[in-house]
Amino acid sequence: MYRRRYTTTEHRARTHTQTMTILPHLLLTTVGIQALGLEGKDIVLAYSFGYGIDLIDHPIKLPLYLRKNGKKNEKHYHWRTPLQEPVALMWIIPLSFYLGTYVPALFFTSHFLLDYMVSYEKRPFYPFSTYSTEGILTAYSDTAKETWTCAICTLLIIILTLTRHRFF
Amino acid sequence: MSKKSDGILDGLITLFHERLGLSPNQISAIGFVIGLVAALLVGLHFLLTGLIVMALSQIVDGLDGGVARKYHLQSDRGQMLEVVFDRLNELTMFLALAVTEYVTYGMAALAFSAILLVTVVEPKSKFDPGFKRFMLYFGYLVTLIFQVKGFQIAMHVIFFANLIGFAVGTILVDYRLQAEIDAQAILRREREVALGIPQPPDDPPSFLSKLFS
Repeated sequence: MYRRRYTTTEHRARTHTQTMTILPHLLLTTVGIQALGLEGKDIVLAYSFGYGIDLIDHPIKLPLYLRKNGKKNEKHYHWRTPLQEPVALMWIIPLSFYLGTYVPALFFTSHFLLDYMVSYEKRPFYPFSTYSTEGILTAYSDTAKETWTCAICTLLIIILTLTRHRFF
Repeated sequence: MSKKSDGILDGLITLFHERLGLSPNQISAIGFVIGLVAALLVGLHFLLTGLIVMALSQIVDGLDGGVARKYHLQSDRGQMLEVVFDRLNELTMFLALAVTEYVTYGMAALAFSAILLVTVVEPKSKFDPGFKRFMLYFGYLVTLIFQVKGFQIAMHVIFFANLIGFAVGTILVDYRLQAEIDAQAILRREREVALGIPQPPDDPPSFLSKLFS
């Protein structure tokens, strides 16, 4: 008999099948770069804060994951740290001032907004508040949100590329 | 200051508390006033004298904690007072360096804001990189030896060290919480297995779990 009781978050996480993967982040960052006409170091900053922060953040909890699950897959493990929660804006905004560009703050915001469209537990203000949320637009399926995000971003990239090359 | 420094400052700790009858909070206040004098001297272009007085204020600053530990006078209010005095001393010293154009106002503001970030997370993370007033001596030495804007370089180091310190501090607190959550989950799983309660099926292997298996 299956007796384990899930928390609301665990239950919701198991009923939604997708997580926001690499593709929407990369596409949205590319749209932002094209729309704002960024160049040089701003492009590097945009990809670093729009996507690269994921690559640094997720391995941090790898030792804990391995201790708990070994090589088994736990689909909805809490991989996130405050490095990619809104609380990180507390250090990213001063860094943006230091670098003299709005790019890190803007693209980091786009990164976590996409993450917040996926229904799994997030602690946006931890360690200053224990408030947790499942994100925004939770009534819609994660797959649909990811598909729509990718479709809209791809369309925008095509339009912006054609506009840049004066096809219109 | 740390407990290690208590041994070095033991004679002064005894002098300040037993002979002069000063409480830790009174010693903190004296250290704060000396720090203000140091900033004033720097602001009046007496740079070396100002830094020497700042070193004196830091020694006095170390005594309050030493007295509190040795005579069991620690209190939350005392700790809070020390933090407030320290931040105010740093603020006035940074302003003095900006007024005398050793550093820019913008860089001083950024460095101080980074220090404030570490201050808010340090009680939870217990992690403080410690790059604050001590970096100013480094700035002075760099200016003296290499004839460059050493204090401005020191401000950059203070900014980055504290910004990283804040980010690392938040991660440390979260990591400890996750470790606690995982430990409870492992314990719960072990109890359920021991009681013969069937476990939920494993999630299907992911690409990475297949790769590492």
